[in-house]
Amino acid sequence: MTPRFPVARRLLARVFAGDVLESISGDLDEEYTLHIRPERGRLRAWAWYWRQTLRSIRDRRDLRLHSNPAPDRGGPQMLLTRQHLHYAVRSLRRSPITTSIAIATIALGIGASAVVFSVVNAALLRPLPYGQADQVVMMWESNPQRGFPTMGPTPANLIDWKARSRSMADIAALAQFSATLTGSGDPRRLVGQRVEWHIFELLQAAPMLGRAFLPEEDAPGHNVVIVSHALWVQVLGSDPNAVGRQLMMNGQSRTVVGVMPPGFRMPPLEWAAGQIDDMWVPMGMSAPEMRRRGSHYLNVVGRLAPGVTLSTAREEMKWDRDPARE
Amino acid sequence: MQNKYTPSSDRALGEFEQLVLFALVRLEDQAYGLSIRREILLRTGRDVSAGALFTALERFEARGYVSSQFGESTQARGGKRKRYYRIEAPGVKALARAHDALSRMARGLTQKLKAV
Repeated sequence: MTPRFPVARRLLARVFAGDVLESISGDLDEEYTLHIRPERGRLRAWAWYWRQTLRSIRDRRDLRLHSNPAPDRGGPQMLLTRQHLHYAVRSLRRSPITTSIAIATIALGIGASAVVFSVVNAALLRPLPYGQADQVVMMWESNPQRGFPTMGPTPANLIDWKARSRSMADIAALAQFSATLTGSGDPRRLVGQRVEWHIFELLQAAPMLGRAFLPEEDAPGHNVVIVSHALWVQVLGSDPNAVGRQLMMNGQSRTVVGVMPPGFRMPPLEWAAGQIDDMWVPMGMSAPEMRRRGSHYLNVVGRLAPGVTLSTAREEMKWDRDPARE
Repeated sequence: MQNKYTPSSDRALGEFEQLVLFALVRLEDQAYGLSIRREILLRTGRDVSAGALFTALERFEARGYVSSQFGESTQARGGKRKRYYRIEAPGVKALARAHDALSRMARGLTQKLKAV
């Protein structure tokens, strides 16, 4: 009565080959048939066979791992590591499905964690790159009846805010602006914003080269630009004398008057994980633009006046728009 | 200091290796996997796995300590052949050297070891 342990045999065949496999499996069968099975009964003999099989496999692996040195490869410590690595890779290749699932799980885990971390880092952990940043606020209009809990104000409303607000030390507006850069190597799409001239002072963020905008530059027809640190590196070649150089934007030559330091970001910061501005130009509103009350395209940043809390400012700014001017 | 990774042919025999070689000496021309394991089990109470035994035998053979040849296959073995092992001169020499070292270290200590 020869035992039938096809699975055990297959397992043995993974670590033993040829003659040795024949000898081992013959020995186990013989011992099982002549001694163990008659002495111990079917169930315990079955357990014995499996125990022997698994111990043989374990011992084989242990002995091989620890006593098969290849002395020409690195020092003893490194050699051990190489063998362990080799062993680990082999074990992984033996169970491709488990390995694939493990790799996919780890990959998804790392990916998800990285995404969450970039958002949390940008939105919560990294301090805002402004002086006394706890006084800096974004200001919004609200029209929940029409489905706009927050929206940017129109130019005319902005002018009203500035006139009526008492809780703000300063208020400055921004609007999206993009341009095609030519004449500095390959044409390139630049993203940035039009900003009111005093926004750098409001944010307490100074250029590392050159200066912020002057009041008189915040009017139509002044072709100046302040560039981000990244653009200064990529387009201006980190030129320490970049101030005064010309950039051709939308076919119009603009003079670089300032370079912001690395890490500076312009509000609004919901773009933190996405758009990063390349440059800023003066708002330069014309008189007709200032009168517009229909287009809500501005973003507004304010700095709380000294001693004013956020909740006080919230209460004070909660006025209804004059219905007569609708 | 004895380096764990010196090439195995220069290395002193370990305890397990000595047990196997002693079993071969005892069993003479009747030494094959099962009989070696039973010999060790009966004399020392150690249940050596077949995997460990054949790994050691393979290594001995590579070093010239033992030789082997196939013998008969039986029904109890499911038609698989026995493989008989014989200890060769280098194996005997290595075994004698290892045993000699041990017994010289142990000489005169029998009483003390028993007392503990």
